Amino acid sequence: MPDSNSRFLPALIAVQFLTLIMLTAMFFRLPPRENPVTGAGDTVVEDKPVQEPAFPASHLPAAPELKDALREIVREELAALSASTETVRVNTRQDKIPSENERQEQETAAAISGSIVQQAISAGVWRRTDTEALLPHLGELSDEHRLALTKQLFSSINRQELEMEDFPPL
Amino acid sequence: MSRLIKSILVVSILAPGLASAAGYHASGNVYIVPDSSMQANMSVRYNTSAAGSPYVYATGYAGGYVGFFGRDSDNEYFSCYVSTTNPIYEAAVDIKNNLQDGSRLYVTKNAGSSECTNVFLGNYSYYQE
Repeated sequence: MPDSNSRFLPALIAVQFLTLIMLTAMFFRLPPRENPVTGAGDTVVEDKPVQEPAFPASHLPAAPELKDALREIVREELAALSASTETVRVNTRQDKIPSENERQEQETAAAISGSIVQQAISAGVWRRTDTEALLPHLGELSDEHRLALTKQLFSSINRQELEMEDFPPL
Repeated sequence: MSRLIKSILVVSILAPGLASAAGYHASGNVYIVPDSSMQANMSVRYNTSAAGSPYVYATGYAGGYVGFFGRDSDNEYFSCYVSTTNPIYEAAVDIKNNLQDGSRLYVTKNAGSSECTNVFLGNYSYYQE
């Protein structure tokens, strides 16, 4: 709720601001503004006659031919650009194909992590010990496994079936 | 030196008035409709009058899904995630990265699902602490 004294604040601030300006003017007396005077050594711009363009207008093709020429140039440039464009491959974890060893490690981590989450859901509470048990295995999980665990945990949370005494790292 | 002393006097006269100047303020909180939505302020952290221990947070693995989570004063929980294939994924990442003091987050999901359907972020001066 706004402060009941706030209606006096604008007036108070205005008075204080005016007081500050007056005091500042008293302390710092600005020199009078001088008219600018051109002294010796100043550069004076003289009017010069307009030079002829390097490419006289009479050498340009007529407007419709110029348009067609420009369109053709743009088409050629775009064609060259599309031919030279390479597909940019984004390096993501999903793009990386795991080796057999890595796949087995992922499966093992998924099984252990799944067991931890399931035990917590069965107990109806997520504790600090569950977080500490899960953390070492998270780095081995594939994105799909991690998302599957999250879905499982979040479903239980949203049904209000899980008391949170700690924060799962998911 | 006399000019310096006069400046100090000016500041000491004006400072108390300027320090009391403040805009509108509202305390942060977390409101959850179970299995449906959550409205939450990051500044709930500083709301000493909020019952229970409400909180809100957002998380995300690099290149992975983004999650939003909260608990309200009635000890009710809300959670939802935005997967990388969700059309709102990039915007959800931006929102997750821009949660700060003064932010109010509003997230919705469909009943029975854990995937977020809408994610909204506002930054308000009056929620700042």
